Amino acid sequence: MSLDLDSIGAGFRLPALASQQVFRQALDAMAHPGRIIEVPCEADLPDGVAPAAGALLLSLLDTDTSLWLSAGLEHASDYFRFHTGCTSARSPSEGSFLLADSAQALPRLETLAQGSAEYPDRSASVILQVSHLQSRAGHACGWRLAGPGVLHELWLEVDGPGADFLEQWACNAARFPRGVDVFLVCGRQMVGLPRTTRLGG
Amino acid sequence: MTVLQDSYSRSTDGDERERARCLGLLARAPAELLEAWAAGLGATEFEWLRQPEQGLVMVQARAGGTGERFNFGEMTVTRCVLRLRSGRTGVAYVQGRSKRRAELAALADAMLQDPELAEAVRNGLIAPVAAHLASESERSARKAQATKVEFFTLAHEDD
Repeated sequence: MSLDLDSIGAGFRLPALASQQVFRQALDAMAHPGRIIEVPCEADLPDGVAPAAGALLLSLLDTDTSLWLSAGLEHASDYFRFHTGCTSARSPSEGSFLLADSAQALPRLETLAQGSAEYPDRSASVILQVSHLQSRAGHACGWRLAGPGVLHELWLEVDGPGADFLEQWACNAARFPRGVDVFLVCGRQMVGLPRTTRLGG
Repeated sequence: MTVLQDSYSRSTDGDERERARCLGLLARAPAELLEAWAAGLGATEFEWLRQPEQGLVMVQARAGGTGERFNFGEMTVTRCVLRLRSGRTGVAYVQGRSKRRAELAALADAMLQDPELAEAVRNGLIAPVAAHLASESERSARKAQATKVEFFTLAHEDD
């Protein structure tokens, strides 16, 4: 598969340093579910890809991974293949990483790679772009987060994923240790939702 | 690398074949010729799409040119991609670890795609490199030829 270089923007200016920084932030996000983390990104990303989502993918993708993009973002495929060497997944179930520009465009979580009991790390990681993210401690609104990494009461206000997503998330948690992990991103903001986090209304 | 080569060798498009030929010459161009060309160039602004990076490429060969493919060995390659102000994108895969050679080769590739600059690059760089590589290969062929042993003569003495 060849690709057209003329339409591709620049990636990280210092790939090694930038991807290490973002990788560290991704670890923090997964270790502290619900915590909003600002991700720096100076890359010239394709239209429609949020800076935090682009930075995550540039850091996490490599030649051993495959990327599935929702219908509105398929034009970004060349960009990530060029900069990271990843392959394009033909179906959502083949993707090790998935990027969706809305909750509606996201395939149902149970259809994605879940990993196996021996290798739960072989499951998919989902990056979901939402239009609003706000985290509040001790102020009841939106989703209530509980589980490992959440010490006190934490609430997350998210615009986009609805009640349907919460149901899918409950089923996802029930498959532990298998199951997918999710990053919610909005602009430069990123929130980690590992499979161990419980979401309540 | 294989992606580029495959799409070029299968292509029937003359432009692409010519570009593949130039990329092949630039990949083997000695640093002195590249620097001599660059010295007359003046400041050229570009942005990196992929900064020069070094890696290994598995070289495959066929015994006698017709046998089964086998892995001949790995070679060090430096590659980069840059874009000129004009929007032309140049790529380079060069032998060895010199980032500077990769940069100059990519610059030449980008300029070769610009109709206004292409002629100057062909005359100033591609032609000298082609001539240099041709004379190098002729020289090594001559050296090899000089060591040729005529077994035919030995066989005669036994009679």
